[in-house]
Amino acid sequence: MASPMEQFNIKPLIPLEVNGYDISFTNSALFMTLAVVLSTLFLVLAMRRKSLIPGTMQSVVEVLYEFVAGIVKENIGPEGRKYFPFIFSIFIFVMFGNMLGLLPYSFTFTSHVSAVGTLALIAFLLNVVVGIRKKGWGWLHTFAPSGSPLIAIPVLVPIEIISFLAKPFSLTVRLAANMTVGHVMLKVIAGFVIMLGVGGILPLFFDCLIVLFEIGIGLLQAYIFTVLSCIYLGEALHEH
Amino acid sequence: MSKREEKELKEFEAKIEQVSRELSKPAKKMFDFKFSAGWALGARLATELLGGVVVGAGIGLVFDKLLSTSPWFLIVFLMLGSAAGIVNVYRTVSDVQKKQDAEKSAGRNNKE
Repeated sequence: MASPMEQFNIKPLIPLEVNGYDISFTNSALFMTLAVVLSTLFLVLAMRRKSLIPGTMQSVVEVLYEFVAGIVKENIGPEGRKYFPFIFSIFIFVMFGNMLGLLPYSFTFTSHVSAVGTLALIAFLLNVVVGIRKKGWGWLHTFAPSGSPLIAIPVLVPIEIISFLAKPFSLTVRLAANMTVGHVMLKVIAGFVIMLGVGGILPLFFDCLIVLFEIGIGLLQAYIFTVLSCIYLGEALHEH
Repeated sequence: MSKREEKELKEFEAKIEQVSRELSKPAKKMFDFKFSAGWALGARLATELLGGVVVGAGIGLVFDKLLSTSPWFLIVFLMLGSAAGIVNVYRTVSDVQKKQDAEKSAGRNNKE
């Protein structure tokens, strides 16, 4: 029987090698491309007929837009508008990745640390760049909370630096682990359906419930990923 | 305003009235997200704690390798990393607590 982890294997579809580096077009890359193309098509087509009173599709897009705009406003503030396109792209990309992964025979690229980690790293680097641009040398003050006694500085600064570096790590692990766990659970219980024969109707019912639960988790994790990238940006822009 | 837009606006107003009438009825719960939200918070705290320890250990290992002082940097940074993990958990929880308190007081204001 197929192993429940087999669904996470990366298979090269178009082998490519440049300068000794393997840059094959893999199934992961295929689904990332699909997520980008589908989300673009969805957003553009739904907004094609712009009317004052939105139709069904246009309302969906407007709700998405306002949802993300609300996150940005709440966590960064009015000066966060500049970064709205970035935040919106992250949200849509992760959400489509999570949702596409739930379709049968698909691949969940958000279950891979390398894919999610790169997204988190981009948000992290943006935080550093924005912080340094906004505050200059004062940015280093992030690592030494004001009002801390001088004796505590040698201990506090490394702790603050590690806590700063740990954020993208925990962000990555959380999203990837959530997606991996859900999909393994689905596969394992689906295995029981075949093994139990007629009695398999019970795990089948259970699996249906888990798919529902997974849709919730997928949306929720996309939301959390977006909120936390907003919080990073907000921290870079504001004083503590 | 053109005739078509006027007609659309009138239809829209009727729609708003209908929807607001439906909204005033007590809402039926389709799917309870509370459970998954609590699960997500638990996972967040766990990874936050783990993140500090792993990043600390990683930094310690790198320093040890570069300066060949094994295992001293690993020991020091493991401790610092654990502290950083606890700091992160503390900050996350106090943020969540603040948000919940704000929601609670907002809800009370709406009821009055």
